[in-house]
Amino acid sequence: MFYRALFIFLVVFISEARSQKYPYTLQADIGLLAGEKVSPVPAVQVFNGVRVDKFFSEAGITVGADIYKQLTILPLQIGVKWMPFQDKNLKPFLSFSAGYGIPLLNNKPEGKGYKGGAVINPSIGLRIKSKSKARLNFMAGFKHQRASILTTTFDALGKINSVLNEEYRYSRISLGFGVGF
Amino acid sequence: MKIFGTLLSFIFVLCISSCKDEVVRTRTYHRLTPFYLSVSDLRKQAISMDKPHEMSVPGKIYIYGNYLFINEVTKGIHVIDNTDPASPRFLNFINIPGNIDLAVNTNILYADSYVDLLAFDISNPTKISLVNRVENVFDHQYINKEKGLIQGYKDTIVTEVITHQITDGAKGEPMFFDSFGASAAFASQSYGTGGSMARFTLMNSSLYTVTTNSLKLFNVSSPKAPVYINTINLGGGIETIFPYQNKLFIGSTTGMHIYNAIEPSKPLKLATYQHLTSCDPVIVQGKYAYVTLRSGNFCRLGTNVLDVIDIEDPTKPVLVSSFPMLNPHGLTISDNNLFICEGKNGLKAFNSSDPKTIGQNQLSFIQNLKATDVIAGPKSLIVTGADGIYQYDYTNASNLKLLSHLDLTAN
Repeated sequence: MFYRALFIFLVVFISEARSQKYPYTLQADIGLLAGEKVSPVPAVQVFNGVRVDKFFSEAGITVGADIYKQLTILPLQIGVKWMPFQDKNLKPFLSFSAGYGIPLLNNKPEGKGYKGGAVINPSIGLRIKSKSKARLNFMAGFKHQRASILTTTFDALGKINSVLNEEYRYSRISLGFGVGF
Repeated sequence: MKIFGTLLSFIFVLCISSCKDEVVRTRTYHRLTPFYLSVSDLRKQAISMDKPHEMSVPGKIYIYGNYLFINEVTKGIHVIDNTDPASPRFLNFINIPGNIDLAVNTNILYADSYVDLLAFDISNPTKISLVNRVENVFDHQYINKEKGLIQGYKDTIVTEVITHQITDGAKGEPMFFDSFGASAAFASQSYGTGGSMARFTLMNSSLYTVTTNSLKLFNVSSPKAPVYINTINLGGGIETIFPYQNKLFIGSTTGMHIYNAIEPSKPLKLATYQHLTSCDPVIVQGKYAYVTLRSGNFCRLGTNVLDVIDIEDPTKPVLVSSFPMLNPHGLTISDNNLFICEGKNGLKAFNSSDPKTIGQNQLSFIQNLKATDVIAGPKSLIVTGADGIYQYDYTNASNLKLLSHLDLTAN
């Protein structure tokens, strides 16, 4: 269902972007995901979207990488940004994105399996116009995502001994800054 | 701008209360759950013959004439007509609660049932009858002897869920109860033909049984009436017993004990060959003993090797050579061929004409089966494992030919 919705969104999004009716916009961010009693971990993401001036909004797709200690997750999200105040130099915005995080498999040892999970990321931010065409963005938000590691152990004869499903539920403060065009 | 302030506050509160990483660990595994049994109640249960049962956890196997007797761990014994190894046929099932080991002597099948030793007349395998019960000989199984209580185990599938917060400072992760091992794959043996993982064996009209720390002797000169003689303390970690030319070779987790049993009722210790803590079945041919050492659930410090030990002077066993293996379990030797079960890795055959270089003389390696123990029978090479019972034509050990496979749901 999610993939179908994403596909439809992509088709509409690309066709609208190509029509020039809704100008293309891009935002690349780097940041940290911080939580209680854990070290912050790095995160990067790129937002590709269109501007919908009528609603003071941007809509698009965010792809990124969240590098947790246990595993790296590649979130693929659809989202909107809402900028109700149209000050030319300083635009606060609200952002909400949701999607699916795919665990990155560097290697897959025998008996291990990985499964992705849901991602949600509400945040608020501030867009500052620079002298060039680029603008700077600062964001703070909350990010929750899930992913699972499935470990199957076998006895000496190859029979399954046990199956362990570890579902990691990350709930972090997301802080980031970046540039947009 | 007020809405941003509100949202910022909301996110702040959300984070303060919710920014905790969690991991939910769900573990599903087999566990042998202990339960208590009254021995008097147990003895009231009829030891019955039944129609063929499904084979699920095969244990030890015994060849006698044209028949195979396969232990179903703690449940009983499958009786199989193996007149044609290419087409073995389940005949019936003997219900024996608590049964692990077996041996056959002159049409009498000996089997343990928790604390008792049972004797069955198998002269007509379609009409097997209980002829004797020697009570309380395996009394180490009592959990409370005065009350006559023993502990049994029931195989259950357990699912445990543990949730905990992930923190950088955590020194350990939540521990689950350890599994006792899914299959409890006790393996097989055969009297006189070299079953290597047996705990019952027969020699010179005596039945020798080993527990984890002792050797128990029975006089079976009258096969239908086994008589308990005595118990010899062997120390801990005893696993297997193998008879050869009036000697008993007893495998333990720390070494191989050699006993002189020329006087059957009074075995005398000759020597102990010590090795690293490992699981180690042993077989003997000529002046060499072959010991496989393996690592695994119950042998945590183990190594995976085949040791060849010169026992020409049984009071001074000497290691001759050692060869790396994958995960060796049971083994058997027939003429110049040594067969070694490699657990889930398969079955290997070696030319044993030169024991000092045996590990370099591999003849064949069957990798698509799980092998626990192997017996070189008169008609076929019988391999037991988690997938059931395989039989091979081993007239050419370089090219083993599969004759039949009894899988775990066959009957």
